[in-house]
Amino acid sequence: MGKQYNSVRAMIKEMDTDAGFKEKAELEIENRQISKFLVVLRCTHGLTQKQLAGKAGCTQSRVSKIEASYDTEISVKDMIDYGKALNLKLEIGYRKPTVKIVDLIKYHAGKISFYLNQLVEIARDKDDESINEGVFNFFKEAIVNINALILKPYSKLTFPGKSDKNIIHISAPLDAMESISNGADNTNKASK
Amino acid sequence: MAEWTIETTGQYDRDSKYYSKKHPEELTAVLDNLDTYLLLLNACAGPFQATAGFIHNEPDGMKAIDQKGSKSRNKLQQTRLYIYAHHEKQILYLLGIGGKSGQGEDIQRCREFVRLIRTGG
Repeated sequence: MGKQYNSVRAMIKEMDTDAGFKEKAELEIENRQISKFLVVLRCTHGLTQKQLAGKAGCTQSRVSKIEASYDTEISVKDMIDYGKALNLKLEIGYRKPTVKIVDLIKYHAGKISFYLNQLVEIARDKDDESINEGVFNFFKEAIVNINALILKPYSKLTFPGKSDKNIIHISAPLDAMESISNGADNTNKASK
Repeated sequence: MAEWTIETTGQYDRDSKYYSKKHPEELTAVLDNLDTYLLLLNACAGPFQATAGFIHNEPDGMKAIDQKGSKSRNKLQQTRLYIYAHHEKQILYLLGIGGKSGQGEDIQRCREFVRLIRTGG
């Protein structure tokens, strides 16, 4: 089969055609990031344009127009309306374009740590067995998923000296879960 | 959740080259919609019901992405980008591009690709 790409823009960059077309096509995609985000938001909530319009109190053609808009044409009100219709709170943030990807990853890692600690606090405060169990199960899943999240892109890396021996192997999920469960049981026993 | 990868076929490469020269606005509109579809694939855990007007269901699990939603002032020709999403491999295959007139032949040709993909060819 043919070549592989991680994004449509990466594919356009590699196209065997004139630079003018590539530039225009890339710009078109770049200028419609917010409207695409809104389409994704609607579809992941399983709503049609008509259903969302009903919840937002506008017409289906209005939703269609918003979803075809350039970023500069979408108002904050449009975004608030989408949020209301999907029962979501709007959060707006700015980021310097000079911020490095590694810093973004560190920022999000910090956020993950913050929210994980919040979960632990909730579990401790409530002293409810079902909540405790839910949080505990979430942590078990998170440990496996976060490892997989890092290992998958890492496995795609090629650099001098990298061999199979260098790949980090994690325990089978069941083994890992067992040792975590044992650790948790011991902690529970100790606290009692 | 792992990200989806796009994989092109020789047919797609030839078609996109032709469209970039003869129908650049149509190709831009189709690629813009493809970008939205890829975002949807990455946002959803499994097969999903994408309720966007530019996606059409075709035989053998194929989908066609059209040029709708473009802000071009010109009236764009009906254009279809044929795709196949392999959910196990998380690869989105781009099979080919065509117009409304040769739709039947395009679909038949793309179905052959899909059969090859499904049998691991």
